[in-house]
Amino acid sequence: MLMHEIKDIVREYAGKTGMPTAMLDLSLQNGRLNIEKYQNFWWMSSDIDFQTSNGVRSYSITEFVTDGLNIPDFKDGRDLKYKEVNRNDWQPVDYGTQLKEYYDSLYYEDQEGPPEHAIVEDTNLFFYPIPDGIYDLRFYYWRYTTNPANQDEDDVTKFFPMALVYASYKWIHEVYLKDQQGAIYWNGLLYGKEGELVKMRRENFKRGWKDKVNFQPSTGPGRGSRKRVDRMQIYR
Amino acid sequence: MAHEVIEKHPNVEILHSVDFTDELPDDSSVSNGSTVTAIDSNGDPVASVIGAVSQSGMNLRAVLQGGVDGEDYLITFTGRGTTSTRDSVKLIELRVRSKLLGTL
Repeated sequence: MLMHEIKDIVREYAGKTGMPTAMLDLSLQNGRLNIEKYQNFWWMSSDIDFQTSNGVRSYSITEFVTDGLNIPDFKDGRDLKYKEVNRNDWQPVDYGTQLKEYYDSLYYEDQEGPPEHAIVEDTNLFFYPIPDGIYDLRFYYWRYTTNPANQDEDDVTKFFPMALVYASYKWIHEVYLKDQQGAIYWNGLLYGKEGELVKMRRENFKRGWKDKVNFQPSTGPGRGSRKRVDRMQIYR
Repeated sequence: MAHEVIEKHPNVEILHSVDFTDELPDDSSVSNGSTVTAIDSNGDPVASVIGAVSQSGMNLRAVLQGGVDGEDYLITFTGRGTTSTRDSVKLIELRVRSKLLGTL
């Protein structure tokens, strides 16, 4: 379904001329945001290439600055790979398995080297140890998306248009009409047992996109390693 | 919020008139410095939707034409008083639809 068809469906319900288009647009924007807050769906995945700077540990994810990734709609990180600039083999970076305070105690404050671990704290990406040169990085992440233009469609409007419509109706009842009972009804069609979001979750699982869960013991023989195997000097 | 909503077929041309009598009480006519502009739902200006623009007393008139089926346009009628040179604005929402026309 094209975006303007979804808008016209919502208009027919809420009043063709009574409801300002600005409120209609807000209801659809918030509807989409509520759907995407529920889970990480396949259309939200993306990746970005960037480079580290020598001696810089943290990189802004959301801002367009030097050492910034400029991803204003960032939701969550997924994975990270690195390689040396003149090579073409990507190496894994241990991403998001521990908190920042763990790595702060694992590494010296001024310790430098190729990226081994990375975490996101607030809206910054931190590397441990501090990169000792320029490396190519590829950051895989989830992002919030916006509704397509009137003449366009995307996977949400194509395959689950009523999810967007129900989410919009719920917002309209809550905020515009101030009718909480009506909001509860549309909430049920969206979040309920056989609601639209359940169908979207099923499709999400079938497509193989699901939140990645890594289990790593923090004590005992499997504790986090400070060095890569290929950099360990076992005959010290 | 738009002052008025118009639905039209893409092939239809409408001569639309906006009266600024109440908004510009010190004037007896709007000047040729008055303008009519249009933007689409993305906020991009679309000059092709606006045809000939004219003034008749306190009325600012413009031909609303063409448009892409399914697109929503926000038309801004800016009337400038001939005597006071003050500006007043009225917004018209134009919805171009080939199928969804009917009683509003």
